[in-house]
Amino acid sequence: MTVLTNPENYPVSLKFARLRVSINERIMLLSMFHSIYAISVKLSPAKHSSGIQCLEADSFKFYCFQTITGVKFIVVADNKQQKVEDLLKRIYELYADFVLKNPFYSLDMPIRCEHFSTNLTRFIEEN
Amino acid sequence: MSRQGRPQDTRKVSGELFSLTYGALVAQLVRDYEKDEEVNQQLDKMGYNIGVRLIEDFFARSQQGRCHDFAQAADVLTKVGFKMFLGVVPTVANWSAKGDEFSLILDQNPLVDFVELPETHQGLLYSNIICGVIRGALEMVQLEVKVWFVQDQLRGSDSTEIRVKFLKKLEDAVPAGED
Repeated sequence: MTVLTNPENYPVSLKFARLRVSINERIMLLSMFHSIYAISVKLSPAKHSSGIQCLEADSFKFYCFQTITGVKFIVVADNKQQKVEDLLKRIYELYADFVLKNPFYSLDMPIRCEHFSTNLTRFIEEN
Repeated sequence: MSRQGRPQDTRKVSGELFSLTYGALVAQLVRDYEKDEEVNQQLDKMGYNIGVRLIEDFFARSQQGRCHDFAQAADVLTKVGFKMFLGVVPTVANWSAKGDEFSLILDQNPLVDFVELPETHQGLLYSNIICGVIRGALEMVQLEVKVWFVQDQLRGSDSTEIRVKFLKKLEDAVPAGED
């Protein structure tokens, strides 16, 4: 409130966004997705089918890319967003570079690598 | 080494610096551990840690898919993997009767360009890190293998030969949808 009443701070810009899901909730939701992914493989009438690659909803699309090693990359994008598959491949490359080549990162831990985040945001902004 | 949109690719490190760095690493390990066996083990462990990370880089950079059998894996390992990271393509030879073991014959080994093993360390497997890398990388694609040196030019043999033996497929680790 003190920020709003002090005229020196004008103009103030307020950004309203959806409340971000907490890390623990995220982990829980994604582990459920991991199981759903496995179920989708079993449900498929065709043999050797891949799992869920794209989940379409009203207001968003949910993309998943699984690597041969079992790592899944997930992107939640706007309905009209194009070329998300390219984005997923690029994220894989960035992961292989900035996360795995960081000697202080242990496998299967949450990723807290600045280089990875910076390069990722930069790539998303450019495209 | 071509990847789109990656500005750092124009920097290249000289191969000699790489050999020097690896040499310094091995020399330090030899000073730290008394026995050659222990140094060999450490090199294998380090190679393993490199291998589990390198495999993702390999897939991100090449458009390689899953291999259908062990022979194809051997092919991809030498012609794509070794070529991409070490710049040399070893020959695949000496397949066992059951088809579960093969040898990699390295004519050139960039790690040992200027190296001579001293008398006191004849048990040292200088390039053992390569065995670890192969083991780590293949484990991440659910192939458990045993990798060891059969011959080493540094120790007086004619050629450098690494043997890879298929132990088992890690069925429970296969990601959903991959067979």
